[in-house]
Amino acid sequence: MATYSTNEFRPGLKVLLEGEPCVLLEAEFVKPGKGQAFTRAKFKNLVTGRVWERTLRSGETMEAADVSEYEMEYLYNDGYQWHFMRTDESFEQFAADEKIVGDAKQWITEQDRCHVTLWNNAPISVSPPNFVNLAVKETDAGVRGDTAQGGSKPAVLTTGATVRVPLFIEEGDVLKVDTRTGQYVGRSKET
Amino acid sequence: MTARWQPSAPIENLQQRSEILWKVREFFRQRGICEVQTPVVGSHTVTDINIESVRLANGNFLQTSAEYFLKRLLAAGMPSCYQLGPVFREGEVGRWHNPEFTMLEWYRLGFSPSELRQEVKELIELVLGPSDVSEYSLRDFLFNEFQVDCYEETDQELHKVARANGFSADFRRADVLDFLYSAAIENRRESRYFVVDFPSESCALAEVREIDGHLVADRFEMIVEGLEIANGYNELRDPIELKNRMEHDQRLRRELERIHIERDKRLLAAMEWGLPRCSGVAVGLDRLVALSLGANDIQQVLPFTQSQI
Repeated sequence: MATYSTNEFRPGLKVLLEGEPCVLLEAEFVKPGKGQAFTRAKFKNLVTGRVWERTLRSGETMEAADVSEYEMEYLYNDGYQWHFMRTDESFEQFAADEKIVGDAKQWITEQDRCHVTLWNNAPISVSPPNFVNLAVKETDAGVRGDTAQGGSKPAVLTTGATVRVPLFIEEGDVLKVDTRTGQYVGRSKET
Repeated sequence: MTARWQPSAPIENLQQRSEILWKVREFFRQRGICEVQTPVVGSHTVTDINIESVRLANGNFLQTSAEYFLKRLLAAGMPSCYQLGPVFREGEVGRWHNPEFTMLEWYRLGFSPSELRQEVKELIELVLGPSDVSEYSLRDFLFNEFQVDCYEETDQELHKVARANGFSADFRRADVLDFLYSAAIENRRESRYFVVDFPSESCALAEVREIDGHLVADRFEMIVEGLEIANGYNELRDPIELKNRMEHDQRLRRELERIHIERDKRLLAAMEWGLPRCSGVAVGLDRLVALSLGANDIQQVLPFTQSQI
């Protein structure tokens, strides 16, 4: 298995920390007085998304994590798992369970192009497209002048996600939503 | 594609740096301290296990500090003196490190470490303006931050505290203490302070004395805005003790599979002749300039850093 020494540390490096795949966010060389040199590093756990701070002795090595990210098309959900296919014409398919798909499941519809992170050739996380177009399944009819809610109301989309929308939005409207913030962007021009 | 030829630092920073260098030299001239320029290349170098020297093809070394040459001058009768110039440390690259950096190092005959600390404080104030400076022993400093006693605590307990603070290296007591020290500096929000009385394992060329039954190195460091700016000693004068420490370093180097460094026989001979009682200190001048300019890293005050030479 490949390893990286602290003096090869660069942001973006994928390593195993306590057995979990992480990406290196930043590393700083520290040397107290007459003492040992250290590398103070921040890692993001690729499974949980949590950021870990660790200090290693300079020259220490970490095992490389076999992690890669691919664009994949979301194919279908069989009731248990979400199925994806690589878009690079390898047609390789992968299945991910609910825990791995996580928040992405409330945004994606069939044929959406997602980013799937693989660790040892198995999915560990799924990122939806930054923007998705989804139709409103349910929302109250807007009453003009009702600004108690700041002029917005909740709308349930076809995927089950709920977003806050302006009062003029009606059932059946197709909305553009930013999946990173979960916010309404506008009415979609594409239908 | 053309090579990136531009300097690391903005030109105006280099102009301000020049002003600071004038001020510093004037500080020493007013006190009658003589500037000297000792060789940057020497046939010997430090044995210290945590400092790696740059070795040239002919077997000589770029000096990691002017200490050995300056002490030979002091033994030969040179009064209080300073050197302001480049020193070199292999592999030290980072936000606040560059393998070649500027060290201001001076020795004061007859000064105690506390008298020298006062002078360091005045020099820092000349460049950065006045501010209070507190003083902690390393023991109190670590206790305040982590509630551990660096002398009495078991190895296991120290390691547990270090782990809880994100230290993931293999266990060695000296490393754990170094880590806790750097973490405490990182956490402490105090503009300027001295840390004094370090564990005797990190004595380098400082005198060792006993405090409360523990051997401590008569050493100090000054921290300014979370950066180590100065490192000073009550200078060791006993040549036999010096030889013992060098041999100890050489043994440790063998154990840790680091390269072997010969003892500097000329330094040892000068010490046998006799080093006058003195205190000495080294200041990281680039960092001081950076603090003065409010720069976020050392690159902004060096004309060309490692990646651009």
